[in-house]
Amino acid sequence: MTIWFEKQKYLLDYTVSSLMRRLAKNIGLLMVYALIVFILATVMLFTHALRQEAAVVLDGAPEVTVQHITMGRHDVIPAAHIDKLSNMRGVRNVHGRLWGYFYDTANRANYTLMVPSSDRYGQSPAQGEVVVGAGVARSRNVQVGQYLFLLSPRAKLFKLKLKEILHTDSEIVTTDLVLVSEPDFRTFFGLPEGIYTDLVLTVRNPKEVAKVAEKISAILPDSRVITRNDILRTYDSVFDWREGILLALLAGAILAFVIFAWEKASGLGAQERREIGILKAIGWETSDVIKMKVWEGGVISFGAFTLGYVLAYVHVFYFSAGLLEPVLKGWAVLYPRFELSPQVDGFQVAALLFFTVVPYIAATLVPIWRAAITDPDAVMR
Amino acid sequence: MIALDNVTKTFNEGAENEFQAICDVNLKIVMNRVTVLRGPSGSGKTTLLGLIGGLARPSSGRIHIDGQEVTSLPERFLTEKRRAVFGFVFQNFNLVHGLTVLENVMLPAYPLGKPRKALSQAALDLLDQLHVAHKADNPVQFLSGGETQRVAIARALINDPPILIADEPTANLDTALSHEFLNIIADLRARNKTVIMTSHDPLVEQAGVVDVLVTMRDGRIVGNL
Amino acid sequence: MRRDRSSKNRVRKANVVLILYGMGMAALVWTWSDALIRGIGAQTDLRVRADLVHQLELTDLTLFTEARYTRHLSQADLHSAFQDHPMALDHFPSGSLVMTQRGHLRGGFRDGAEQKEQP
Repeated sequence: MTIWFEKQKYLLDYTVSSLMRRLAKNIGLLMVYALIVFILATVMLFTHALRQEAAVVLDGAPEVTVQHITMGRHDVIPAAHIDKLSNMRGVRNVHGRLWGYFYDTANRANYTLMVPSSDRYGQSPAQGEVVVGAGVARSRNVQVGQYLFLLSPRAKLFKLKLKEILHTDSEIVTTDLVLVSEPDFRTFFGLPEGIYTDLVLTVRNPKEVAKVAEKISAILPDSRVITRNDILRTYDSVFDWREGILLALLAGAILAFVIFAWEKASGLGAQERREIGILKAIGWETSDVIKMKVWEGGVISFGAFTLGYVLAYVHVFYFSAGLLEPVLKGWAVLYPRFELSPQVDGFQVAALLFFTVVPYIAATLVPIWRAAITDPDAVMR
Repeated sequence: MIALDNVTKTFNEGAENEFQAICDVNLKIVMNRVTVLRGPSGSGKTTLLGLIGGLARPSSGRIHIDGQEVTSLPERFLTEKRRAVFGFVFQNFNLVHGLTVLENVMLPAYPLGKPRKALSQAALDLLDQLHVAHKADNPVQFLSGGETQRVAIARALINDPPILIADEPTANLDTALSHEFLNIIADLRARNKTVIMTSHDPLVEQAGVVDVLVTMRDGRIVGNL
Repeated sequence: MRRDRSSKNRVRKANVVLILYGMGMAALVWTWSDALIRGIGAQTDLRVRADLVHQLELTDLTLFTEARYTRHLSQADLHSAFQDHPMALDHFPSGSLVMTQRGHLRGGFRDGAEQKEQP
């Protein structure tokens, strides 16, 4: 065992000396390879953690949401539908939700104005009051007790006293919220009584959600029914590969790897061939030469994986994937400050490790194979 | 003893440029002697040396080392045998650039996995005997011709092989360095090492260290003194 | 001239690499244990967020606030320019990371879970 271990260290000594002959080039290779791993691992870790976050957090989302559709577009829903749905078997409660988007031209930010259900949310604002998410407070630079001014779509200026700022720990779900009372909401958007944005239902038996949803589609054919499953599955379906960002990432990664492999494969010059011949002549077996090359490929690729992956982990879970922010934010002004709960899918990590290390070692071995198995005499001539 | 029976070596067999470098060679190399293979360029000296040292396999015929036939040994066992029996000094010395002098000397012993401290001490001792120990940590590309040769000899001796093989060892040396080399050979002979060399340098024959002179021409042995 | 090497500090390259990689392995193990520990510690925060979602009847995370559908991913319009199909998101950068439920392509209701067609 000691002999074997010592022998591996000797092979590693030789490998390192060999790599150090072209130190700058090999360090550059390592850095670029690590960068590729970093990018792939960042996206992988981020989307996995996001999926897990959504799965836990959105477990409290409404069981069934019913939207009214007019000419293929979402429309407001009449309160009369509430009665139709309340009488359905299996439905425990139906009520209307009031929410809408508001584009604040002053800050070029999209807010979500909402009326919280007073049954559920204990801090509901009274008329003239407002509760905002932390992102809104930051972008408008307001604090509790101060006034928030909003210019409604009807060009009326609303002055609302800030009652509370939702906790920064909840930013990932609340950062863009502006919670107001129902009268304020209806006046702001000019929405008359008897109309809601959509309806939410709770169902007696959670196993019957799909059944109830089907019935709603039948009763209200001009509606769209969205269940909690829809919401959760949305976040399950990550990586739409056709979209530009991911395709660019993958294409870039594959192209970079092809360049590495080509460089390696075409890199066996006379010098390297001769060197293998010398090693064999002075007493190295074919297997020793191959092991040495495996070490060489492993040092670079495993080093790149370790560096790239650990940096990606720190980037995603300690710096909230800040480098991804421009991608996720688009032109949005509001972006939540959040820390995703670290969630690591071992299988994904293992797959990344495999595809980082194995092809690179193979690309290192293939070009030297023939030289390694040839008689040293022939190799040295 | 090394015995070659009807050994032939053909390159590029079956191809248009097929070439028979060695033809029906029968030779016995005696131990503890200095044997020189001489002859003009293209006579097959280097090829024969490579066959003797197990660097290549003959196209036909048999080679025995100490009674054991090595011609058809699997690669692994042949390499083990070569490592244990032979030390090589190549015509261009063929030190590995990027490694230090000490690392080059230790290189043939790497596959054996000996403890590093003992190995590096043995290497230093050899370099010391050859008066280049002070260059142990220098990269080999900055050595003079004579220093390079001595490092190459040290490398050839690190596994303490009974036989040293040298291919045209004085071809790239001036007279003074050639004499130095021949002194080293004489010293090795005195220590009961066997030396097999190729050379067409008259200096080697005149030095008085040669015990057996084998003359070759066109791939055959034409004289054995 | 003999030079005493025994006292000279000669760093072995293999040892340097093995130490570096040992540190790398330790870092990898750290990520795994950090995920475990912080994951447990984050449960409370997750619950707080889940409770708020329940109280306010929210449907989505707020990560994608720039597009027409703002952060209500599950409730996009049915038709829009620059879409691959009615339920797809627009070609905004965030669309490359999260996709809507395709089950709604057919007429009538389709739950996000696998459902058999009703006769």
